[in-house]
Amino acid sequence: MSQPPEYPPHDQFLRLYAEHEVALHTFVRSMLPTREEASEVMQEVIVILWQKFSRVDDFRPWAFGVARMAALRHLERRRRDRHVFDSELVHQLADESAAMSERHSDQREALESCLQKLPATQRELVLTAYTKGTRMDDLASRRGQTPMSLYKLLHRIRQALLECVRRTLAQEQTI
Amino acid sequence: MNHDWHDLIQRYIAGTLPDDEALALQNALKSDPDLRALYLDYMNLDVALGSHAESRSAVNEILASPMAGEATRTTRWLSWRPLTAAAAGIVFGMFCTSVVFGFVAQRAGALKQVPLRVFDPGMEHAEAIMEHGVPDGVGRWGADSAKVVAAENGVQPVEGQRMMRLEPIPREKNVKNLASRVYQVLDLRSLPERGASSDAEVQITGSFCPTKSKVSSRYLIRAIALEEPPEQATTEFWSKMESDGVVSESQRFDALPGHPGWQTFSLKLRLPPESKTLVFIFGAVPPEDTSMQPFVHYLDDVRVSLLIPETALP
Repeated sequence: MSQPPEYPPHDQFLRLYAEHEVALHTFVRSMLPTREEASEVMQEVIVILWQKFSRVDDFRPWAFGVARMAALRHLERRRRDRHVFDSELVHQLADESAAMSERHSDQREALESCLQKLPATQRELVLTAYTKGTRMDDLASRRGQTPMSLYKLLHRIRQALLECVRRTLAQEQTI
Repeated sequence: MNHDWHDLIQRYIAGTLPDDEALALQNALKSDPDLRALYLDYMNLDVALGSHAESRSAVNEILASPMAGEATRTTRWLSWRPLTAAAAGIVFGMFCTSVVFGFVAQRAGALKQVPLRVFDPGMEHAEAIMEHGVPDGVGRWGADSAKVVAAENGVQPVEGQRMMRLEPIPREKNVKNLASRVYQVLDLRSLPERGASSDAEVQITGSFCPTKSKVSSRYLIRAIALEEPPEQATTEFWSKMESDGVVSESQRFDALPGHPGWQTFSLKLRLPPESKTLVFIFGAVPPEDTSMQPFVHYLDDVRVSLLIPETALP
């Protein structure tokens, strides 16, 4: 009788990490104020996961636990510099984010079509703004705008995208 | 729900919300489950847009690549993650966190890579020409706490007979930055290949080796381009970081435990056409866990290249 394939530990890790990376990143992002901080904490999380990976069956809860602790450690350090949400709210957001994984996965799928519905110039702008290395002041200058007016435009685009995503999912649920 | 919450949440996400309004948002989030759902949806959107942008960049790089085997003189170094993710059309790597595992792949690309002259890239002669901190000009290395050494502690130089030993800065020392850094300044004014390209990038590459491979090591590379010529740029250098006319990029790299030996990391910086000076910095970051003693790392085989789109060349 054939046995299920036995992958080496590194392969197993990469497969599990690939499966859960998006949800893990969203989870970390929900606890932290900025995208950059979430990326920084994700670096720490992946190193810890890689170092301590040993079991396959409980990967997801273990990885989320590691991520939660890493984000909380980061917030403790950050708290000295500026206001961040208190621990009670951060835990509340983390719990609800973990519970909303499926909804958020559906939203990410819907985002694809919502991006296509945007005018091309707005789509280009928002993706450029999110491209690594893009500086808002440079982008504003290239467009002949002030940074503040660029921020406001991006706010409107993001709000339109979120409303589109939510509307799409609501329509799917009524079908 | 008050429509202004959209604005408040987005300004919090952008890091532009004042503390008093952040506190108001916190209180409202605690008591309003719908507002929490909205906040979490925005966070999910933020991550997803970052992913879309990253995968688009990776796909564009692949589309810009000529057929394999063509133009072998035009090569560039890429981190493997975005490239493989885009090629396979899978999610892994798209939420790239800038962790680089030390694996790199070389491929043909639509960029011409022009090596720039670096002072003593293999650290063979740097010993006598080393300043403390950022050097005053070109043609020398600067360091916080480093020295040039021959093979030691079981570590052989990548090439030649010598390498830079980055010595840990004691935690007790009252300094702002405990990373052990080395610096060099390049004069960009006489680059014949740069042409009129506004899309040129500079790529800084260095190889690091830890003396302890059972724990992870963290390294940094930073590049700073300034509009001032070197002799002015290096005067009160650190105070200029937020000035107009200064662009910089930095990245931290984690070398995973269990991989002894040299690991090579690269950083790219888009170079404004008016830049006259480039300062690049390599550093070894002490362990975050303060119960762990910082340890020695080595640096060798430093390379700096200009990456110019073929279309921008005359």
